[in-house]
Amino acid sequence: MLGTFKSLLTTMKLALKPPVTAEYPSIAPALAPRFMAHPVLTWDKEVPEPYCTGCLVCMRICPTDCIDVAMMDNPKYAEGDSTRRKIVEYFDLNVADCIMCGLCVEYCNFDAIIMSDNFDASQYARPNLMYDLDQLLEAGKEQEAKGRWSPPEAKKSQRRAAAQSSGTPAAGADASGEDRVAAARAKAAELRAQRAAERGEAPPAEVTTTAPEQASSDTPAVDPRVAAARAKAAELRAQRAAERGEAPPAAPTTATPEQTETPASEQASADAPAVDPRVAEARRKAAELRAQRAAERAAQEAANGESSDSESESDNSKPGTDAE
Amino acid sequence: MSLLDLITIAIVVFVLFNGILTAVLGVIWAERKTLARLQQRVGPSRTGPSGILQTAADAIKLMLKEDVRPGSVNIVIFYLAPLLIFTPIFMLWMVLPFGPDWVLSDLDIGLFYIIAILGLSVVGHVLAGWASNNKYALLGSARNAAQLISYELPLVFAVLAVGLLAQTATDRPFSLAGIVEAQGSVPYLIIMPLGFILFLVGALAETARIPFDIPHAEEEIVGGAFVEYSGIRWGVFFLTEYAGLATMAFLATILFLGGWTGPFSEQVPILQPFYLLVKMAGIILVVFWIRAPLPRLRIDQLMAFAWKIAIPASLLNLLVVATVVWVQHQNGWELWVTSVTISVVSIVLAAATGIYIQRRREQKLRQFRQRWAQ
Amino acid sequence: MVTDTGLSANIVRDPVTEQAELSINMGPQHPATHGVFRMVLTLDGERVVDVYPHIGYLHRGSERLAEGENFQQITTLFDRLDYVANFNNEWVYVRAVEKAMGVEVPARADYIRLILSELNRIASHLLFYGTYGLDTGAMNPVMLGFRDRERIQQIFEGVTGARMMHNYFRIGGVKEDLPDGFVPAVRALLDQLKVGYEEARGTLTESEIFIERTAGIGAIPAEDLLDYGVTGPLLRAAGIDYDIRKADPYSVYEELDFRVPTGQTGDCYDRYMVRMLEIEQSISIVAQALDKLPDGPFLGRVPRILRPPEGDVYVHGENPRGDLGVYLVSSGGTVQPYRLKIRGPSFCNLMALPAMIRGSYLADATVILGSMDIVLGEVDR
Repeated sequence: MLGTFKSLLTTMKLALKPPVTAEYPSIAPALAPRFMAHPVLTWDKEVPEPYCTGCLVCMRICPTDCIDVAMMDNPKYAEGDSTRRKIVEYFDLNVADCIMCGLCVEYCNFDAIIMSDNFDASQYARPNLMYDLDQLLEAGKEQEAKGRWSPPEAKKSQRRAAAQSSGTPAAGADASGEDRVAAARAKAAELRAQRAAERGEAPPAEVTTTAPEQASSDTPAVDPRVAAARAKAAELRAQRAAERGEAPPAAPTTATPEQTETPASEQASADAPAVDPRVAEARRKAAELRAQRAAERAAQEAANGESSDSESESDNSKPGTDAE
Repeated sequence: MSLLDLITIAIVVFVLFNGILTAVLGVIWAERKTLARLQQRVGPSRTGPSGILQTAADAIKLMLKEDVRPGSVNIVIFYLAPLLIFTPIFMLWMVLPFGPDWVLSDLDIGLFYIIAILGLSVVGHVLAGWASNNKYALLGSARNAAQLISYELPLVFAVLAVGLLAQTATDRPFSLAGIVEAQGSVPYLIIMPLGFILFLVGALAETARIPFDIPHAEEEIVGGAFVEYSGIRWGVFFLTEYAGLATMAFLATILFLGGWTGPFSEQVPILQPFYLLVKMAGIILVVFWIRAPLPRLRIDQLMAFAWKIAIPASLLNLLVVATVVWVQHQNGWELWVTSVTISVVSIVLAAATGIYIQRRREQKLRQFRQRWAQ
Repeated sequence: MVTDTGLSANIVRDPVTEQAELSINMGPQHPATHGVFRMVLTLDGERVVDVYPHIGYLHRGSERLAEGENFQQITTLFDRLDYVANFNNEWVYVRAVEKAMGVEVPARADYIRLILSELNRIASHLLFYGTYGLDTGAMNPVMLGFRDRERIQQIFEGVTGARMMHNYFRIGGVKEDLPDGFVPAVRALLDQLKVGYEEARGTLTESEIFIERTAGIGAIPAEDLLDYGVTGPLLRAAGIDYDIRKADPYSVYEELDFRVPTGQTGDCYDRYMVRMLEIEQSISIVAQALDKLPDGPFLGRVPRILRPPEGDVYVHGENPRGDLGVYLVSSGGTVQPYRLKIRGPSFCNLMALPAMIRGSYLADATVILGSMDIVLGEVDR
């Protein structure tokens, strides 16, 4: 009996305390400065362009493969406006898959990606959870406006080096000699694979005879099925080429040094799980997605019947090729 | 009976029925708010001021919901059961007086009427569980039948003791209005605390409230007899439960708390229903309060409590009241002598029961305390 | 046969003994099964004759997934194993990789991990307290438990940026240093927790109905528990003081003063009390660790690319639910483990469930299941 009364009394005392719950939608929760929702991309106001160079580090470290990135030559670099040789071509984030672990932010070498506080990112349809480059950059600007991020004074690599020399290493910046060798080796293998893949893909653009109408002028009449089939063929070829490139270090690999080396050197310190099949896999996936998108675009254009835009689009639609 | 009388009765019944339903919505809202406060929460706050329209919104939602009927139910009984549970509770209100004259039908045997009607609802529960063709529902209805039958006894004994007691002061001891008159300024809560406690326990069990909500123990048999019901049919069950709670609180007020009597209630008759409702709200709040921290008993413990403690205690209570009333009748005592005698004996008995329970628990508790001393 | 209620179909009648038994399905969608756990109970009236547990509804293949992930990425998988004790899970995993690679962890990182893990243990036990109160039918405990757990999670959010899926421990240390004002915030939190703990105790511990419901329920001999491989509070409630923090000390537990609460009979009440006393102990551990928290680096010198040498390691630690073990096989030179085996305490504890439930009442079944405090994320993996 007494225990029960004690229990009732304790409950009564609780009623005298103020409520601990908040009425959520009207009272926004106070988020910690480190709060992590899905990642967004940062914007370099000085240039202006994204910080992101499309180096694929985030894509590789992502545990759920929710990021899809591609790199392209930076036109502003050619004009001399920017110091970035490469720039992100597209960046797709599937927030439905994102687990908000923050690994992409941690491993990014360019301060290009940050975790947002956009915790109520619910949507009515799943496709709305696919964020593209523009949306992510917009969200990044919002984060900056909120004061959750500010442009860094020193580059991340410099900060890492400083932290390392002062004795408190930043996130895993240290690389022993052996590992650096291993990383370099891996990088070389990766480059070989990439080039092999490019070689594997380059011929079809010229050799393919099955679809002459597509060759360069690319009339709007491209059957999406044809495009899809082509993409698949290219993908298979790329895969095979990657396998070939893996086993014997393909001999002439000095074809286009500056194209690939710039990001690579910046990337070298990154923890690239540079196993060739994995890279090939990622590339293959990217190529596949791009091909898919090209097919979609082609289909859309076919539907629209617009021929003017299709030419510029068709350049992008070639699967897996960086503009050479 | 003229046509006008019939129309008047129809209007009164209509107003009463809807008034009760609205009041029940208020009770549900009050429970949510009270529980929220006892748990440091805010409670419903969106619909209307302080969320007072929340239950109304819920009721509307339930009405608009699809009425799903599982394929293998016994259709007739399945649809009949909610009515069989719903109707008795509202039949009770026929004899419940809001004031000396504020009553639909002042039956001379109102007490017996209530006892009889209370026993009806168990039929509805058993039928609902059986017709649902669901194992959880079957278990729930079996539990409900066992519990209602067991706890009806202490409840009825406590109520009968009230009738006996009222006999000393009124010539209509089994009419509810008569009982209120008999109490005068000293409510039976003071004269017969044991009876009040037993009545409250029985009422908790009858309305299946924590700690006696075994018939629809959510953590065990999900929802008991109502598992297969959806939409407004489920809403009817839910509403009935709270109507039952309100009814029981009303009865407790009439039988033990002096009903509508209070300061200046004689002079200002309009105060009478007000007093009644305030007292009723007090009892309902206590029930909410009990709900917050107490766990649920197990079925065997529930039965053991009924048959080993509640029923003997209520019988003893009845015996004491009957004896004292008889002795008074024989010796022609003053009324206050009777009252004081019963009061003393009842307090002693209540204390003895409490101590008995405490002793039994204390043994276990001591054992645990020793074990956890270090 | 739509109108036929066919109740006879519900009842399993033994043709020889004519004994009627009711087979009832509890879960995977049931208010009291703690996740997607399913029990098929055979009832004789209200008595449980037999119980068949079914698991696997939450199977995600964590162990297989780990074989395809980098060592850095696997931490995120461990967050999602026992999702109410994330830090404790992460810790065992990073310790496994550290042992495989021979990495030294800075003292500060060790203390940070310890503080967060013990806070997480409190949070986990508070959740147990709440759900257990709910299992017995009481409503207030769950709010009390969640109220204080929320306070702990706010601290976590300040440190890691996430309330549950932290991904904060790294091989060789932690992701980033503690934020400013962490120590005073945790001290204030501990004071709040003590107040909340007293309220929690007052609500359930001495309540007669609660004791009636839990005492003497679900107890099986300690030898049987050992045979089943039961660990954690379940085993300690039966009087065996097996706590890895004492039995096989890791990290800096040896430098801290705490005791291992044990029960006697191993019934549900003992399990409840063991967990409640562990909350007390954890509060004291965190307070001590805050006093001793050293300065220094929070991350050791770890290669950027993790390639443990060929070989295997087994590391275990005291999870709020018991002995969580990680068996890690590295084929050498790869950035992914060859095999990662998880010994989950909930899973192993669950083995004893049928023995505990058999012969009890239906209402006891949920109480016993609740007292085991299983987390399906880790049972099903």
